[in-house]
Amino acid sequence: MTSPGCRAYGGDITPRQVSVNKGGQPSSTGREAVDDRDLVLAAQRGDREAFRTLFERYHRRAYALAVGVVRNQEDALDVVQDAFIKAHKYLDKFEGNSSFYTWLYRIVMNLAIDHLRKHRRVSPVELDETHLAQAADEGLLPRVLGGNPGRALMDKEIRARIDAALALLSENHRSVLVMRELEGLSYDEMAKAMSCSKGTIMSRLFHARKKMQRQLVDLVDGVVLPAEAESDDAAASGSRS
Amino acid sequence: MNIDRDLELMEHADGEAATELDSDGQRKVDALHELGELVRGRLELAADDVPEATFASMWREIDKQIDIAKPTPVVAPARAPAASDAGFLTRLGRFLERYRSQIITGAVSAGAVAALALILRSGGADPGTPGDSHGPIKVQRVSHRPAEIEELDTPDGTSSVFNVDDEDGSTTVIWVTPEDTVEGI
Repeated sequence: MTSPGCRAYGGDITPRQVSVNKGGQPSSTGREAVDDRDLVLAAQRGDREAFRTLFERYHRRAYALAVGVVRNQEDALDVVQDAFIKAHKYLDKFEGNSSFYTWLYRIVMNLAIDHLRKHRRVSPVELDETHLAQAADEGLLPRVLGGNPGRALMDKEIRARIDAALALLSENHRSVLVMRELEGLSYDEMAKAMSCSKGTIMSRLFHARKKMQRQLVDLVDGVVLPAEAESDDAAASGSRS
Repeated sequence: MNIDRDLELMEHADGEAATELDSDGQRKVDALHELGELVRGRLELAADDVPEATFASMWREIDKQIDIAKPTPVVAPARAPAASDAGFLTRLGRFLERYRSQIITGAVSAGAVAALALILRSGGADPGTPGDSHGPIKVQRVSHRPAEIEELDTPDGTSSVFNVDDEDGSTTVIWVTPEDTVEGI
């Protein structure tokens, strides 16, 4: 059984800019050019439209993060809604030492992890660094889908397989993987955010990726995993024949 | 399979550390990047799949919740002193908490001094004196008026009564002369 034991809070995080904002999605308030900081200041003074603009900027990004952790659309929507309500409630305590999204991100992660704890379902056993030696014979794979992830994602079946693979991860493994891949956090930032050691973060990330690779690798033209003792090239060429 | 080497490759792929890459290492790094793209792309697509109407509905709910959570403005001016009192009491409580040991020591010392003073005072005073425990002593004026003698019966002689007034008050003098006194004997 996993013991999450880590909370998503901590230092200043500068998340990677991702495209989930739908680019130039029009805002009903016409405040695209306004800086987040100005919007926050206006919202702190009670400007509801300013807060709405912040919501429109980040709701999809926050949702991507939430759904990556909780793995359920309705639950993720609940998490995002609660996160914005909470953000507004404590907005006057936000001093602007980090970006608004970094602050919001922590709220989303905390709520997502809390949600998982409250609605705990059977979760896969987690391997940590103490088990690295036992898993030494299961290294990273040299391929997954054949080099064109964008094209692969057009395939419904592949998307479903990715969902299933994510769902098989433990909460901690999935949270670390999502933080890294979606937000681009460094190991130190993740360690701080989850109150864990950097080694623990590396271990979780390593195992999460390894499990994901093994869940997805057979999607590539029926490629069969090579035997660990064999060279990858030889195994790959053999499997394609 | 070398687990340490794979961890190095992962650090390299994540930009945490640089390492020399052979062809096998390069493929593994590329595979890690590919996996990252898949996960990120999948989550972004999941976010894009949510209809805008869903988020519009979410905003309405957020807007409503914010209104509900908004604190009611204080209208009654009578609340201000209460808040002020609460603030004073809070500060007083903090002060008492901070100096608790000193305050207790002071109170015990003061009590001991008061008890000692009471003991000493009760030992030197007339227990019957009124006002010991009933407030200030009432000073009663003493009249120095001499007793008025209305009648003096002097057997076997004669008597006279004089009242002498001076600055110290009045003095009564009783002069008695026996009848059988023989002058010159």
